Amino acid sequence: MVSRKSERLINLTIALLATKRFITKSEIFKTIDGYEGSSESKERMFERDKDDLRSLGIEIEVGSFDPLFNDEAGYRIKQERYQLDLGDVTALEISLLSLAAQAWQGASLDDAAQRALVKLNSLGIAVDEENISDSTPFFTDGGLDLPIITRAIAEHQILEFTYRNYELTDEVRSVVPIGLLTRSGFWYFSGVDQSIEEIRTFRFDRVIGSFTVKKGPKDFETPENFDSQRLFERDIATQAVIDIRLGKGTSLRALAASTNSIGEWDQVQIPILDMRTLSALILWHGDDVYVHSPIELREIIIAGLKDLVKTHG
Amino acid sequence: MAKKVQGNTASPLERTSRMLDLVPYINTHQGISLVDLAKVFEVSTDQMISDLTTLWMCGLPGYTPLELMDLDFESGYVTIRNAPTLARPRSITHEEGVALVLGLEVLRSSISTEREDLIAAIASLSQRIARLVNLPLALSASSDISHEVTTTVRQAISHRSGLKISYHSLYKDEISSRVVLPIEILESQGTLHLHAYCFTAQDFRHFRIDRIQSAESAGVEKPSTTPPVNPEKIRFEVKVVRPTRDVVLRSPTWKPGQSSNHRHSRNIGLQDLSWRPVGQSNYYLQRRSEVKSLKERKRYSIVMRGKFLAYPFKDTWCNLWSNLTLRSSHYEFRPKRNRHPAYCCAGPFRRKASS
Repeated sequence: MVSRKSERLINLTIALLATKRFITKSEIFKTIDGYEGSSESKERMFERDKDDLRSLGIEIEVGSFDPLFNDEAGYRIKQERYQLDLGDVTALEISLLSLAAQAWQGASLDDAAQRALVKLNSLGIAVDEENISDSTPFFTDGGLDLPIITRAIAEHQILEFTYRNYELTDEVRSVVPIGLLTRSGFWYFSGVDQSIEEIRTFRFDRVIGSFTVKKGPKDFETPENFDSQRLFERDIATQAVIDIRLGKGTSLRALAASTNSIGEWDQVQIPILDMRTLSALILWHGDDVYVHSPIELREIIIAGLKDLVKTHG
Repeated sequence: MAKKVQGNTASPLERTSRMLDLVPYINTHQGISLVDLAKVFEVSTDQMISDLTTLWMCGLPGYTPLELMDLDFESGYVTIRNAPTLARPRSITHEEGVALVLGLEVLRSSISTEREDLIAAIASLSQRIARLVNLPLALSASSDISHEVTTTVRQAISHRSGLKISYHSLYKDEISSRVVLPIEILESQGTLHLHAYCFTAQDFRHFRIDRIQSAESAGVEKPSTTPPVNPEKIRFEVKVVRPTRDVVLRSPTWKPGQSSNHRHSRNIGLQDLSWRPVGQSNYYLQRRSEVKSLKERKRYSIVMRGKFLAYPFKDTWCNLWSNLTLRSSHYEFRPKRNRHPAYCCAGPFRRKASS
């Protein structure tokens, strides 16, 4: 049974691919192997097969022979749409794509990356490994559903989800996503928050539960000048100015944009991504670090220390 | 979703998709062996034969020998003729496009900026793929790990040579210099860890790769791969986690139908541990660093649970480690005695990396 279904789907694909003109349903039933039973059950079979092929990403065109007459609808698959067309692909490019696919090893899109790799290898182009270093970058994610975001970006869909914000309270957000990015092992997506009509960035692991996909606003336009690469740079207009004792605070120094030596201390400037994370890291270093500015950061740290005294003092 | 359900390979849609991709692949790999082909498509050889048998019946309407594809695989090697309609590979899906574009992004961030040729090639590829699957170019990924460090570490693993690393301990806020023998790179909760024997601590340690400030190769005493003289020293309590045939055969007290968490106490001699020849164990260690077959690597990334005793470092710790790791999906190892810290391999790598 199972193999008959696949066989019929393959035969249908071949027939629809090979034809230049549209072929009608009755022609399909007459000529393609596997359509059996009453005309009603054939119809049902064909409808299901069409849906199945579409779910495999195969586009079936519907048309008629003569637009003036209300003819029976015909079907075909366009070779150009069916085939992989990346233009001329060089050996070097194939190698780069292999490495790109390997980066997903063990991460959420591993299977998709492998399938893509098989298709690329089917182009019959030799791999040029000589030219590329042997270090493969890695993705790390906890099995996130990344395609749900990219599909929503492509189709301007609204995603609804529960988000845990800085204050650790959960709130329902409704967002048209416009960008997806990963930094330092975390995945982020940004989008236009529908309630405030502004671009916001969300961290994937702070989304509680799953996404609900909804039809997006009709007149949605991706905000101009949006560049996911710059997303963090723009947010980090404010920098913290702090002093770090010589030979200490290595993890803070790694974040520094600039460092000046002032005797027994170094004065560094750190772009602020997240005030709370930074203050926690600063608190960790105790009296090896002194914060000059901004005033908000000082206040958070002083409040944190006072809390500590109240609890344990 | 990264995990593939076993039954999936036989679902009609999955099969159809695979068979459509098989034709162009065989077309450019004429004469490939059945076994290799099954490996590429990650199915059993039987499933592959069944797929090819079905494909053999497909073709243009009419279905006379003239219209059918001409597939030959009886000899164990596969060739295809007369399949012009399906000869070119299918276009990539949205999900596959996303995987490639993001993969290229992270690749770009790991390549040194001097390689302008590669950067340009990656940009061109990203654009072409994004257009193909209607993907907005709003994806961005970057690797935050110094590629000099990872390259050096990977090379050291594949050459089985030592490394001198300077490592930042967050807890002590100190940078220490250590000489280590790297074993493997592991991923845990979003960060990469280097599992290594540390000559400074004289024990096995896990180092977070992003906290390794620098790495250079260093001469170390190489582990020997010859079996130790006295194999009687190890005693394990073995918990059968997943009974398979070879576990059952080697476990005299095992009875079919026993609950799967039944515990067995028995001595394991070296003969029991050396199920795989030494050569193959070495091969395993190299395999991980070479990262040739993705699926195989996944299979080997078994998390060790519990702790187990190992031989002194000079002896076959390396051999032993790989042996135990390979079979830890079947067994849970618990040391009973001889708990000497120098001989004790820390088990679960998911434990927080400490200095």
